[in-house]
Amino acid sequence: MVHLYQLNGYNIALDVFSGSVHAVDAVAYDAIGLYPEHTPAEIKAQLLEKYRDRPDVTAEELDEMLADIATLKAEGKLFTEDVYADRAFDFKNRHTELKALCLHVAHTCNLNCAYCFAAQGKYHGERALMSFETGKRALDFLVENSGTRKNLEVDFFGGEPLMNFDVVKRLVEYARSIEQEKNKHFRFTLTTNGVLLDDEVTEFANRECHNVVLSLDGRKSVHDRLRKTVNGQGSYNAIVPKFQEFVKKRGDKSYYVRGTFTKNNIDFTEDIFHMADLGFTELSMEPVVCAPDEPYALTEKDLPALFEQYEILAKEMLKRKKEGRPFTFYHYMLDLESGPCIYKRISGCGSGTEYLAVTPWGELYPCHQFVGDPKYSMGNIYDGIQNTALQQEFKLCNAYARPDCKDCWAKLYCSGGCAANAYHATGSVKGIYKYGCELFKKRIECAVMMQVAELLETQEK
Amino acid sequence: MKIKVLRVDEITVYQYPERITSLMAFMQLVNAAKGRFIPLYRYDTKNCVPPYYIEEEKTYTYVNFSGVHTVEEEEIHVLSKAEYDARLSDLIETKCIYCVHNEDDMKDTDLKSYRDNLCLDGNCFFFEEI
Amino acid sequence: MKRIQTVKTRDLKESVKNGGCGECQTSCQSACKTSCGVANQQCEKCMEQK
Repeated sequence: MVHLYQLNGYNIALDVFSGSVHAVDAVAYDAIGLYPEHTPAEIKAQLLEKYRDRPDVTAEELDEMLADIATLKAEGKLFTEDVYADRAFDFKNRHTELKALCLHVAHTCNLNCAYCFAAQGKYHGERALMSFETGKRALDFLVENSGTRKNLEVDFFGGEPLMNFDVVKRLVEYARSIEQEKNKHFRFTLTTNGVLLDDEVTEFANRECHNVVLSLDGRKSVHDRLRKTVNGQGSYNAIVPKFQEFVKKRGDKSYYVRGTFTKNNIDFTEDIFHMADLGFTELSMEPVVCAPDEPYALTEKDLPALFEQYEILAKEMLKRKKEGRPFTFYHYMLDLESGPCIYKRISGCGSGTEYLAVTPWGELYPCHQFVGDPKYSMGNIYDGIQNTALQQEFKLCNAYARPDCKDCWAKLYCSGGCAANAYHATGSVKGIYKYGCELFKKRIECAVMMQVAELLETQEK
Repeated sequence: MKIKVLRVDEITVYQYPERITSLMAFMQLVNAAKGRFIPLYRYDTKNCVPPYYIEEEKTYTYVNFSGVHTVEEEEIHVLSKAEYDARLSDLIETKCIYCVHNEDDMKDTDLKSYRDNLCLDGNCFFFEEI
Repeated sequence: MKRIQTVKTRDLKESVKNGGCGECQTSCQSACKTSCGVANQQCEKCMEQK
């Protein structure tokens, strides 16, 4: 399967099953499009006709190009067959040692964001803070079930994790104390709305946290519309200076300033550029996850405008890089040489198997987006996974298990997409969230285009 | 005009209720309210950058302190909208002209582009010298 | 004239043999939490070799 597309003046061919990427000119673009259904002779005839006014398009020239295509095919870089379909069923036997936990250290929050997928941090349940004992047991559970995995990830999440900062500190201290003995290496991520960010948290995060995610939606009017306190006050003014201070001290360590865009800001690139101009160079922006009847929900009608926004973003990022003021956008990060292997490409985020969410009471869920849904309770950190059928379901949930992904060129980039989104959209984790697919495909096209643009730019020099 | 106010949960600022002049007295009022709502004026930040607030943009509201974590006292500056805008305009003419992010078309409706990020003390989230 | 330029990429078919160690980051630990960011990640083994 080859996905051909044109973007920002580039013609690009993605060979789905090898992961190969080719930048081609208009003639080769047409040839590759015709290749599966036509003989080389037919293609040559058609192109000689179409490009008869082009002196550079000669019979010999086309022979050379067709030979190049044949060579790429022989080398397994173009029109490669799907050899993974059968292997995907090997996934019954794949390793699913636990390697990451999302610790909900607080089911409460000091903001009242309108779109919160966690119902303002409480996940439709009671307010709670995770005790140190529960958190310690969760870490032990992770280690006990991690097999020979060395790198273990713990994400402090919520609600707002800084409302339980003392426990967070103690848990990190405990984790560090067992690393050597258990031959493990913990990587911590902290996600925060910033309200309680201070020097102590900054110093702690810079010492212990591999990654920090700071929530900011962009322009003040956008951010304050939906990210308010329970008393209706916007939080922009309070958190922006804190984030600026934090990022200054963060240095080279990983962080993201992450926003959510909604129907209120279809022009979300303005918010991304706003954040970049505030000095935040590591950015992420996600479409809102909510019920379709919410006033701020994104709709089908918004898609063309959103597609345009992603293109505007890619072009501006290339421009700013040339001008020496680059910024990173998470979804445009693409390491084509050192990206994930085929196992990761097929299996995805690991929810329900390698990655679990833990509530303040120690209950286990496939990920943070399933917390509170009783159908998806998997067990607890004391008794372990009790719903093994559910674990099996997630184990087998991959790009090849989803019927809707069969003919999709993007499946090895998205691994079939987010199981939670699929479940909320279709009632099954094996479904797809079509809207998410549309946005994802656009993003990958833009991300690949940026790689192509940089390659060609380097060659020109 | 400088006044003492209540800052609740790090973000929201309220005027002291009538006849209450200290944090201690206010906490006594909260305790006496036993979880009932207390009427207060909230200083909104929609069109200003703290610690400068606009007198006309106070909102009368009701607050329940049973879910509140912290209450602190602090000082803020309160100005009339006319005075706030006049000072903002002055600052734009004296400071923003030296900033790379300043553009002619930013003087839009109600100076919104400046109003969101430029504080009357001269600090701005965006300032980057030319 | 070169009408096709191939970008250097990791060969997914090759990675059937040398992949699957499972040491890579779980994608939600990064900056999304609401959509799938598998493609945006890096291979732990590859990074170590670099």
